[in-house]
Amino acid sequence: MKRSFNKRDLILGVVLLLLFSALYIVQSSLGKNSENDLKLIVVRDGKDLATMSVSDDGDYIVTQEGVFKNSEMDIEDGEGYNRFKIEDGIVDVTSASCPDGLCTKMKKISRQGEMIVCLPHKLYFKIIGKMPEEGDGDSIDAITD
Amino acid sequence: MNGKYKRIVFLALMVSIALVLHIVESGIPALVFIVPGLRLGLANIVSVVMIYRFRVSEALGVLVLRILMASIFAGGVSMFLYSISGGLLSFVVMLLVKKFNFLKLSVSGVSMLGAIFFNVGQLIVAAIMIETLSIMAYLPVMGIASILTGFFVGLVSKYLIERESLWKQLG
Repeated sequence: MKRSFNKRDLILGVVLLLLFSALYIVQSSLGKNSENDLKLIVVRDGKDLATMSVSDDGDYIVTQEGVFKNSEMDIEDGEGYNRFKIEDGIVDVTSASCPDGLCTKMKKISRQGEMIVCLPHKLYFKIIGKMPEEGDGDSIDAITD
Repeated sequence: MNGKYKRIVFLALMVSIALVLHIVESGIPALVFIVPGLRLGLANIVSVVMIYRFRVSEALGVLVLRILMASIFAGGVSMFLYSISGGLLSFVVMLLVKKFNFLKLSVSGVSMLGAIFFNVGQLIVAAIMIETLSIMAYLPVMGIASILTGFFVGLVSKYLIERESLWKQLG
């Protein structure tokens, strides 16, 4: 065989590439609405643990009991936690007890719709607009409840 | 050497190659910054080659063993769940595409679709585990990345699949 791939592979690749790019563009343009008054929600097991304004700077910690601000509390051995900070409207997970630590490596979030996920803790942080019901996929959550 | 034992040795080699690729690529952190769980799919080279050159049961066995062992050595329970669901979905899709000659795709096309569905499978499990569909927001970026990585995985696989001298030994 002369070529390592055929024309139909290329066409499929290009079509899918365009499709996903279009999806991405639609997605990121949706995220630009209502730049002001963004909120951060912290959700575990599908339940809201806390909602706070992204202008609420500080260090936070998420434990089994909930979300605490500026907390110097000691963590008991074996207790799961994620620490995060809000600074100038940017949310970043700084440390966590989960085995893979992926949530600390994920990029910081500041725009509507962006999220940081901690899969081992079934936890995620998401930035939402003023009214989460509007144009937010979360209303479909009922399916898994 | 007896043909049967030769085949077993071949299969064992495939498992170990896939395992090494899987573990090596999970040590490459660069892609994680874009989307969690995004990988190069190097281990998928083995799956693609096996779909073309081995029996279905053998390919499936090697895939499951590889993911199981990689999770024991380098991952954990959650990694196992994501990898196995992505791996199986991708395997089934690639098998069907090849069997029914869907769009008459060659190895690269098959591997591209495999890569996309690997990520779809992972995202479905993630959506169930953290109970939110909004994680599907990662799909476009993951899709774009999978098309590129899947294409190159296909190219590499193609070279291997066409090594007739290698497969002649399999009998």
